[in-house]
Amino acid sequence: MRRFFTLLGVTLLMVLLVGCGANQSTGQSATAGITVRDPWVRAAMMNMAGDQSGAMGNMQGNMGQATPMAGMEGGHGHGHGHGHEYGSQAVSAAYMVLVNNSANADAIVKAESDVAKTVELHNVIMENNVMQMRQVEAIEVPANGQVELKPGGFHVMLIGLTRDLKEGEEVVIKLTTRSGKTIEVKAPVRKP
Amino acid sequence: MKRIFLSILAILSALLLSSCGAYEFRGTVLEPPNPAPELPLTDQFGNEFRLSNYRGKIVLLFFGFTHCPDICPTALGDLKRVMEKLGNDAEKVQVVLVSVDPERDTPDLMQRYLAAFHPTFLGLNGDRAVLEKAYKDYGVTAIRRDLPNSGLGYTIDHSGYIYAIDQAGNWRLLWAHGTPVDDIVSDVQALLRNPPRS
Repeated sequence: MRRFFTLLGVTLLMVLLVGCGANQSTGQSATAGITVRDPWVRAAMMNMAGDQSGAMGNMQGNMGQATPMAGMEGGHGHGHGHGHEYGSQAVSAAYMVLVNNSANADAIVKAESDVAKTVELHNVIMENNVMQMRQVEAIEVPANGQVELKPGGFHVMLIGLTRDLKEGEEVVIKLTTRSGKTIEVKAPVRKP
Repeated sequence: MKRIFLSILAILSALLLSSCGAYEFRGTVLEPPNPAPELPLTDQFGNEFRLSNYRGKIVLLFFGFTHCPDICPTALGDLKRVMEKLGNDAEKVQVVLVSVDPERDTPDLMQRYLAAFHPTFLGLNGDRAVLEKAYKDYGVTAIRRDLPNSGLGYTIDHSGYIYAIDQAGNWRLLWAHGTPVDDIVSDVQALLRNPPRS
């Protein structure tokens, strides 16, 4: 009886081991390099006044904010044109897990999407409970490792939405890796 | 001997009762509670906002901005879940976002941004001097940082605390960013159970 159990144990172990090995090899052969898991985009509404001048006019009329605006521009040496360029835009962010199945480190160096005028790679650093968002050149993905893009950390930032992002819709984002590959990601839109 | 037992029992039960009565807040408690500084600002619908109009309610205050697509929505999403978990008690709670980016947080953008979370959430903006005073009063860091290569132009580094102002208008609690929703709900319910004597 005891022998039978031992045998059963060994058999099970073998099945398990074989199973693992098989998984790994298919994973590697199917996708060398970075793959994407669980992507999603935060639902967001576009600015009602799509053109910047409209938004500005609205603001000055309703809130009487001409003064602080002028002060800000003067203080930071921005021309009037800059003020308009950086006027109100609707923004959102995309999150996902980047998995690197290869033995070589790689990175995401660029992101594109037609739902936003500008798409950038950003990170959030928290220091003494002060949140600091920064643009980054690349999101590094170590060899045989993964990096999670999630709220409060790395994210793909969508700046100047060209349309509303409603729950249930899908957003296509094209990522470029340092190794020169492009990855097309279909990310569902979720509630904030 | 019996007497000693009885007295020990009495002390023990007294201890037990007192510990039951005193709820321990999960957030940071501000002692003594001081009147919360007024926020003479304007909401996203163009209405004048005054904290003093919210006596009898608990005000949950957060400082943020609409061009912050990551941390601010996380905090506001948490506050939305707090409101959902409070059920009917949500009527006694007002969530308020104070802008740290007055130039870009136009009423229109604020309306759309906040509507995505909860219809009752208010977004305040106003005169820069008044806002600067509010940041100072509440110990909020709000620093503009230029992002020269970014389409954003600039971002605002800002504190991530959520503040609770009680029914008497006293600044009572603060929660660090990332405090579990259930902890905030529990603290708000405790404030609702034991309203301050004003």
